[in-house]
Amino acid sequence: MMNAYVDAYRRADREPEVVDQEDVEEQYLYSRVRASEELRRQGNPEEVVLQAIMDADVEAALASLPDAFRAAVILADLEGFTYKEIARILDVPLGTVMSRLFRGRRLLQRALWEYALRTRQLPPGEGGEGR
Amino acid sequence: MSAVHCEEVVRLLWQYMDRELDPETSRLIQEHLRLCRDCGPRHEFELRLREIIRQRCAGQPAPEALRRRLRAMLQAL
Repeated sequence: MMNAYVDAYRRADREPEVVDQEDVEEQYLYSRVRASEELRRQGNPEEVVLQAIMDADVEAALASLPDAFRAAVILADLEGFTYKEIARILDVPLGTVMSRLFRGRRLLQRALWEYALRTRQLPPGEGGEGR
Repeated sequence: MSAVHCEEVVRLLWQYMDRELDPETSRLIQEHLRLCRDCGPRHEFELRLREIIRQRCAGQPAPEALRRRLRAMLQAL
């Protein structure tokens, strides 16, 4: 029992951090929107999704991000600080600011896309997995 | 069309929107966005999305760790 736990722990420790494809894709949401057949059937795909997002609990989606990513998104997108200013505020290198900010934006977009899928009754997997 | 390709524009779009690119690259991307039928709408979508997020999340409290850090910085001034 204990050994199984330790093994699992060690295994997790050894495996490189899994980065799924969606996580490195720029403009995650837009790519999903363009790839969605169902949205196209519903009219202008961009409009349908932006409309859904306007009804979404965007604040809850932002609040759901891990702190480090949320801080970067708030400082850049809500408060308008430059990367350099954010680096000073958070006391991290510029590259870290960029990776946290971009990853945070993608996570936020993913949360908003999932919301749009639920409310617009799109089939799961619509818009393609990964790629 | 222009000296910058769609892939490059997609990769740099957020930095462009954040005004974090050098003036020359920024100008090339601006020109590309004006002419490209794929990248232009992509940019437009990102702008509108960002505006919705800004409007809907104004006043969202910063994470506690960030608030503590900002307070400490202010005290050090």
